[in-house]
Amino acid sequence: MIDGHYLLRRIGYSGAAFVICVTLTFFILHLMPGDYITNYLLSISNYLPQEAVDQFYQQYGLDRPLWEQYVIYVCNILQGHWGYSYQYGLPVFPMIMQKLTWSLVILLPAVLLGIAIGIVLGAWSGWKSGGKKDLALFNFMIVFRAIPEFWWAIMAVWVFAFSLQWFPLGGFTSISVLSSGLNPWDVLYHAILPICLLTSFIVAGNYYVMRNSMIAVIGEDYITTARAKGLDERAVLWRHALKNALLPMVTMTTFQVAGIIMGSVFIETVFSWPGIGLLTTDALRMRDLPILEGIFLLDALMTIGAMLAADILASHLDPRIRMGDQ
Amino acid sequence: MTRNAFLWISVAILAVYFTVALLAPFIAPYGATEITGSPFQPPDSGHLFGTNDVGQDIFSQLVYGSRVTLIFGFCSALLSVSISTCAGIVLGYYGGNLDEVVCRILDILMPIPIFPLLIVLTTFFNPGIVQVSILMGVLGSIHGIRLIRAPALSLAETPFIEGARSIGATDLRIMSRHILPNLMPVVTAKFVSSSQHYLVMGVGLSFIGLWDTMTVDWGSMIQNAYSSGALSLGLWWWILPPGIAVVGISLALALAGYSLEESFNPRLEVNRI
Amino acid sequence: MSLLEIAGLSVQFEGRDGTVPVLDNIDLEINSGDRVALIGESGCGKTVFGMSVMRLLPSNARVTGSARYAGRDLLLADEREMQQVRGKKIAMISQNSASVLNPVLTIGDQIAESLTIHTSCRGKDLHREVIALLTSLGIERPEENMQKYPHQFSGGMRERILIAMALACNPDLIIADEPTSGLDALVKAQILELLRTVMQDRTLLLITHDLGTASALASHTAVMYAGEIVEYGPTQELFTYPLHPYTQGLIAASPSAGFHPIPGVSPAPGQVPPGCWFCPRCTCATDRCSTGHPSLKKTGTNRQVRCLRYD
Repeated sequence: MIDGHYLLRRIGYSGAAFVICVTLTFFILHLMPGDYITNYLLSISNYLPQEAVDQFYQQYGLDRPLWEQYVIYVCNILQGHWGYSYQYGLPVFPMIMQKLTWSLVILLPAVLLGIAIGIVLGAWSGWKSGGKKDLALFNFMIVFRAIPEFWWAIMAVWVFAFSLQWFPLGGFTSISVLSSGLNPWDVLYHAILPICLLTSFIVAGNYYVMRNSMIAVIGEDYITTARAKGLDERAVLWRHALKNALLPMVTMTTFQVAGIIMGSVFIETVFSWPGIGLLTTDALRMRDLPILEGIFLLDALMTIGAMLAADILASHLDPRIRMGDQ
Repeated sequence: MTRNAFLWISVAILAVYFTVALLAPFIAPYGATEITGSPFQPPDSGHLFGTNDVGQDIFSQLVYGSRVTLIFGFCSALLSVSISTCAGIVLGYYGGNLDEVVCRILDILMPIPIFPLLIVLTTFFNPGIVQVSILMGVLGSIHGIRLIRAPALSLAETPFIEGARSIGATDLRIMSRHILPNLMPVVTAKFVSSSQHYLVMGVGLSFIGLWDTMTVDWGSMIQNAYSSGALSLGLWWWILPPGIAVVGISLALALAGYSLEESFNPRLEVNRI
Repeated sequence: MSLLEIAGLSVQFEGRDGTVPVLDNIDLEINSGDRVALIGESGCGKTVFGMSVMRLLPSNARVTGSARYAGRDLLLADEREMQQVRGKKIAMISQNSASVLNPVLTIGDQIAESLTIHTSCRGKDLHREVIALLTSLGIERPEENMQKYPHQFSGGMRERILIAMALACNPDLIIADEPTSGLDALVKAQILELLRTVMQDRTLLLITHDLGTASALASHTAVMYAGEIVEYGPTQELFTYPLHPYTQGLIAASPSAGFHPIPGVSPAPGQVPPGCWFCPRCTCATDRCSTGHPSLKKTGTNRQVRCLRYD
């Protein structure tokens, strides 16, 4: 029973945001001094015959008017043709997808665990707000969040990998097993520390939002109404408080999940994990613009998609949005 | 401990950082990139925090590096909060079509991820610290405008604003003399939390190599030490000082931010820290 | 027979700047079948009184005295015991219907909830029961409406839903806190009529600032000023021959009597004057009113008043 107008408006916004992102990347690419020829082909070979250059321009539609190129560019983006890396001369899209797979190995478990633990801890802390345990946890989280992620990662490497030698110093596989292909257990062994770190960052972020949300909800009149009915505290928490407190969490969590692609940059840099993050730093050092744009586009697409999903989810949870009369 | 005590401790710590950044040439014994000794010298009287891989004085780098970090953090925060505040007040006060249109635009801009966009733009424009700070501030204000707009809107509808209007105060005067002072608590809290956020992000961006390699700041110091294996070589004096410096100022700002936020948000009053 | 007997009930709130007394030494007896109204200005502690009987005050409230229900002091009961009392023995109709209903649950669920926790009514029976309740409160198309969410109803309809929730388990006592606040005159009259019908054979504690509501519903009325009861008696008599100057003032201030407001304002909690608390605003105060604090005295057969003039 989702209100059609509301959904349409949201989809319209997402589309507009997508167009802006694509346009931004298009103009950055085209305003750039030089083009594929000067930046990429000439770096491979010193001499190019003029016919080859012309053919290239024709092939890639660079001889057409700008607006036509723009349309072609958008079509290409939709088909996954995201340009070529300066450094490797390879198409950007498959490169990013391959790295994304590696990133997801640590991101997926971290995001799922992080959201679940963050919500549970935050809800509990908010429910008990003002108590000793709540304050202890709250203060701990403030301090935890204030310390930069990459610093936590470096300290974790120092303590757990270097001093205690429980985990490897970095990378995704041991060289000794590489000859016989990738061993899932070996990868997992390498992934545990980064996953734990990422999870705790996500927990800390969600904890704070969930706690505030819960504190706001327990001050509401309908919580008193629920108690006045004779419900026990557990039922008040589960049936009445939790669902209301989760409403603002949906949007916040989406923001965090979308942002975590970039959040993993630090973790991947510290642990030399071959994902999007490492690709980003690498491209940043080499000023490999097409790759950076590809990553930006990917992140934008994921964020836009995630926010649309969050809107739909929120309207499922909150009847006031669902009916379209907020 | 009370909230106020936390606030004052934070302010004192921040004052120390600012003093160091301002008086860097008088405090640092050497230049930031000056080679002043043999590599990997442990801390002693000549080199307070030892030397790095090429024999630069780590203490001096730390002192000079504070300038880059602080400028980036506070300038972007100042710019972002100023834009948010001005735009938020104007939107909230005038309302109507302008407000409607800008809010729609913000709705559309919201999902565009700022961090990667910043990376792309800075690479494209090949920037200095100031340019990146400006970019960061402008991009960051997209998320701040709504935060200020909401209370400005409800303030604009209160009787005392109506009153001010009825005695003939100009719009500009109402916004600057009546609405702004009432929003100062929110604006201050936002500024402090943004500073912390941007400062840490700046160090992080430098850690992943956004600045050009000649700029000495805490992020590049940590990156340099970490990637050169300071941990496995046991060269703790190389990596710890910049790390502790970031953690210190970030903690101070975070504590100040939370103390302010709590004192302005009565709903959170029970959570005394 | 006395159903709820409140004796010496005092409530203080602990704040950052010391404790603030809100209710002082309240004695009130509610017999089975009584409909007692507690009237007074906003902020005099009426709502706190209802909440303290239900034991729903926040944790910084200090409650002393006793509230005996069926021989048991509710103020000494543990949380489990209170959960058996709330909703089942004593139910509440809270004020401000816009915020007391949970926005994310259907009203059918919210009404059924009391039945689920206090009775063995389940499944089809439960459904039938909820529909019967909604019908009895004049909510049309109950089948359809029980699937709706609170924000889809008007204020008057939400009030009916709240009444349905309170009546669900057929409680011995209903505490209604400003049941008609925020409604326009026509709807208010409808709700009052409805309440009069459904409360006919029930015991009611009505908390209100509105004299009209009290006189329409209550058999007895207690007048509260600055956290203490200043006058008590049968409603009809009390409104016809008010004894306490404050009650007289309240009646004179009502719209039907021509809006003659009582001069001054009620004292803030904890800042009551010495002597009679109403003295600074009283038109018939004498010198002794500012020194001796009067006690609640019986006058006549069934009236009580807290005023030195009746000593």
